[in-house]
Amino acid sequence: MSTSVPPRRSPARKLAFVVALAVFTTGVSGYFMGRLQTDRSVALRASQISNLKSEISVAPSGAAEAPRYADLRDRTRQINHNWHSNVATLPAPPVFVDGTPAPSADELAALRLRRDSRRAYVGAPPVVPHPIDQQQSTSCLACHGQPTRIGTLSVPQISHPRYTNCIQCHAPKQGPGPDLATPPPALATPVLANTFDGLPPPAGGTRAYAGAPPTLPHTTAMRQNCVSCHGPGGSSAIKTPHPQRQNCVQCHALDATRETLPPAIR
Amino acid sequence: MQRRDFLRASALAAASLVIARRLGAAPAPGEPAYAATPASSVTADGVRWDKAPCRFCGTGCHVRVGVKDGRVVAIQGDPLAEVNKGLLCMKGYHVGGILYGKDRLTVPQLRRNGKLEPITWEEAIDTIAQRVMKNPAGFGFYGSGQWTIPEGFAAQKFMKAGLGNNHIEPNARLCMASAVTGYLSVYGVDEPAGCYDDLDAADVVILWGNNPAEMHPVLFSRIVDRRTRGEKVTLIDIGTRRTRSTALADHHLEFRPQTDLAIANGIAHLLLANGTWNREFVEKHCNFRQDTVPVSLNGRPMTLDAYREALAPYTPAYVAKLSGVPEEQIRMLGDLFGRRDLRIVSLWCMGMNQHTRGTAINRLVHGIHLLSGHWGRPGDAPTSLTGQPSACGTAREVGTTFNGLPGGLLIANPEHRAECEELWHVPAGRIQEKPGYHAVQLWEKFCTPADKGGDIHTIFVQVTNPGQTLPDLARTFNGKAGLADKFLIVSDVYPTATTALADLVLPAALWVEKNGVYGNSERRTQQWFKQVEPPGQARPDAWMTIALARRLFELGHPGMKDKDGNFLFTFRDPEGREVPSWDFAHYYDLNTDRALFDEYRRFTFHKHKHVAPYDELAKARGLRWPVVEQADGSFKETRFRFMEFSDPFVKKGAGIQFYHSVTKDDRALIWFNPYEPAAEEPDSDYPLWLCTGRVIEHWHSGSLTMRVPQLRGSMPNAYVEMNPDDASALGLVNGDMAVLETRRGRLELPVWLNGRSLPPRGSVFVPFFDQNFLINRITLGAVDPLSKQPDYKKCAVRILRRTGAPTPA
Repeated sequence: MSTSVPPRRSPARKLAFVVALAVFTTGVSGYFMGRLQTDRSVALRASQISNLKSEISVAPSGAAEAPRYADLRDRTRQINHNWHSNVATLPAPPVFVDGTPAPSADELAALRLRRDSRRAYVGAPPVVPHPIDQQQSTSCLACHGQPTRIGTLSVPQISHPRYTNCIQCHAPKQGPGPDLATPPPALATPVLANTFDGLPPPAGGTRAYAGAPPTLPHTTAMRQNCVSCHGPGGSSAIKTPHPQRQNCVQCHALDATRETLPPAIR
Repeated sequence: MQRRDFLRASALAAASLVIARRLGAAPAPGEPAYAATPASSVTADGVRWDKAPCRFCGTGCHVRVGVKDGRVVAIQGDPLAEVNKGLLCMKGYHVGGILYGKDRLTVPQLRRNGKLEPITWEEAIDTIAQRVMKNPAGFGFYGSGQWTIPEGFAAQKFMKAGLGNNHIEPNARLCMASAVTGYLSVYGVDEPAGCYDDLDAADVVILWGNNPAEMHPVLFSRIVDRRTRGEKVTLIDIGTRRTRSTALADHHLEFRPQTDLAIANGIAHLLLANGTWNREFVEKHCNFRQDTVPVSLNGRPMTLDAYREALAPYTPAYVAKLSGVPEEQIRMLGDLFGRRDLRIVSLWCMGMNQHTRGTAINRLVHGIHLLSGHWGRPGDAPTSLTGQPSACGTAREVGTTFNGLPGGLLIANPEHRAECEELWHVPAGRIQEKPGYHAVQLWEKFCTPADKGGDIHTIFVQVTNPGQTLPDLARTFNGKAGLADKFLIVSDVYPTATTALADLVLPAALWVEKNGVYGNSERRTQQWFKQVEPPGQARPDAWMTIALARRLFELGHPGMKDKDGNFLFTFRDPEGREVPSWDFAHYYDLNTDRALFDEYRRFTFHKHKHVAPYDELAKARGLRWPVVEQADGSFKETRFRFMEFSDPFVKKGAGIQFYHSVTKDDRALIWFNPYEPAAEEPDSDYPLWLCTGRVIEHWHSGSLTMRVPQLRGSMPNAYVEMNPDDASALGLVNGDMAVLETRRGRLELPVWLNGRSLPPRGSVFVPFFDQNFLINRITLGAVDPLSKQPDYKKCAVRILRRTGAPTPA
């Protein structure tokens, strides 16, 4: 490398540098001042608003007068008089505590039947009992992301949260949706019967003694979240009497004889 | 009758002996003690579990098959399988159901006076043998990428080393032939260099006309589930309609059909124009190449300057005009490929392969990866996916094609022919030099009267359904009806559109009803054992081929003898006694699959494709070849090809070495191929593009999945998917019956709007799984000039409202 003298800065470049620095400083300080003031005014308005009585004027018809767009910012939101809360009248979700009696034999049978109708064999991904949004696989999680109760319907929570491409495995039972037309009878595809007879679900785990925690009668593949089925509203016939306890496999032992891999490499 | 019962009983006894042996109860001398291998186990509920690759697509997931009382009763994703790590898709979880459709074919049937009547297996095999003896040169064998490797190898040997007849083709011609010609003309050998591990390492995944959310769901999840673990992976969907894959993509580039070539050239143009191409990589590892006139597989050399000049017109503005993709998105792709800090995987399947410019677009996508140096690190790879479980393993690697030989060898090469004759121990000159007919040609010849040049008189179809899947069916399949002296033999498991025209129908054993070996998209060879008995008299396809060869041997066909006068398929037990495998009662005395596979294995060394020995495969959830024996006698698979850190055949210090190079200088070829219009484009008479394809529920022609209630329930019938604006312009609403007309014919289908996917204006989509709506009656059937693969994705169609009563297709 040859040594070289750095070129002298021309006065014009110096001036430009000073101007640029000034503009930059003003810009930065202005930005933060602006932010501060905005926060303050918002806070002020909120406190003012909370102290204000409703300014909504009501027309003779009883309907609220539509506000002008210019006033919207400063107006409080009015109540929708058509809205009713049903919380008080909804059937309460079952409350379990230790020692809650098990479901009746009929209830058990009904639950089992419903579950079995949705699985080709024990461990198969259940089919979807309702039409689905064909285009958005993630929309399943709007309801199934958490345990949900809609009216009399219980919506099971996803039991394997890592996998979220739901329709990869879960086939809608009644076809892809109401919009896919069945062709007229003259063109319809005949139904082809099948005699596959899937492995039924196990009766239950074993207990070492009366009152001992039962073992798991199935593998935990794709069933990391036990309360998805065994929690309140879950699809399994066997419900936990202690949903407040989170760590299921602390007490309920896996049954190695149910694992499908040979012992040597399990 | 008594004899048949006796045969069945002894077959059962033999089969249980084999099972007993591999469970270790009675290991025969010389046979591996399979109990020592960790594949099977029995759970407390009395279910026996064993491994098998899934029967459907080319992903190659492993399932655990639960068997109780001789029937498959449950399926589980195999947690030990590297491919799927315990996960499956809805087809995989219900794969057990495919065995139990009520209308399984269970007896051989011969058509007499237009009606199929039961006959014995002896009569059936004799009937085929008589047809062959009549004129062996006019016999064709049509198989598939669902052939197990031993089945394909037996058919290959029977045809090329036995009959001296090259008219053998797989249906894979319709599905990945362009990927093959792409790999061959770029690397000099047909195989993906990368593997699925690339999907775990990539920063950017580009889908080229590909919808893996439905077609390769487990691989798609492998990509998008990385996001739920907090990793960033950018998914770019370059496609002709919005699909489920688009729903999870970061960018969607919607292009006018056929202009994918312009987009690829546009990326190469930008890499050169911006100076962001990888000069060091290219100077060290690549040569430039262009087409000859007429086109040829290996083309002719071109200089960098000529390459630059050829790409000069493909400016973002020009590419945007051709493709309809905005300039910014073309530039975005150019910028991504220009970045060294990102790792980029390109994935494609039928969109690029079922293309009259299929070879060209395959070359171009490899080319932009090579030009940008996005090649040779985990996560930097151009990778073609396959649609059948053994399209790679059997059709490609065993070379069951009109011009192929096992292990990537070619009949056009005299040394390759001589080597195969030597390995098969047949006299020199047995393998014919002249290539056979490619798939579409083979069927055209079969559908043409003999006096008009139709010199194929008999075709034996195994494991596929050409009556539904060939393009332009009137020309390629249905033309057979009514022709004198044309004889169609079909081995299948259910009645199909193909058996409807068959003269002889043979009941086949399916999946775990026989031993098998498959090969998936990432060079992984996967073995499984028979786990249940096939129904009735259904038998494995490999047995059919061996029994036919034996009958021809008895009838004195000279090709059925090797150099020493021994039968072509002579198998010996560990004591050296010949096992009469052609006699079904003795078929399972020996593991015929193992014998055939280990014979095939010797062919794979020439092109460094070393498949693992059968006994190693029995232990593993598949192994990626080359599987090379180590100093300590163990076997090691190869994840990345041509890369020194992984591939044992690369010269030390070379870094990357393309040792099968077309130019014999260890370099890959970067091709220039221009954009050219499609074979049939929309015009004023037929104003819309017609694209066909698959859906997640159904696999190929649906003959298996339409018989599984859960899958059929989810997708009961075919439909035509339209853009709502096009539909409304035609006065069509959801559920209306529309009439689709092309120059080949017409078909009525229900309209589905705002359904699963959304084509842009001017395009419609129809799935091909439904036997009642054979869309291939009206597809085009134009083929790529090199790969001979038909284009099912592009032809011109017009749509009308139906008036009057429905007309069944």
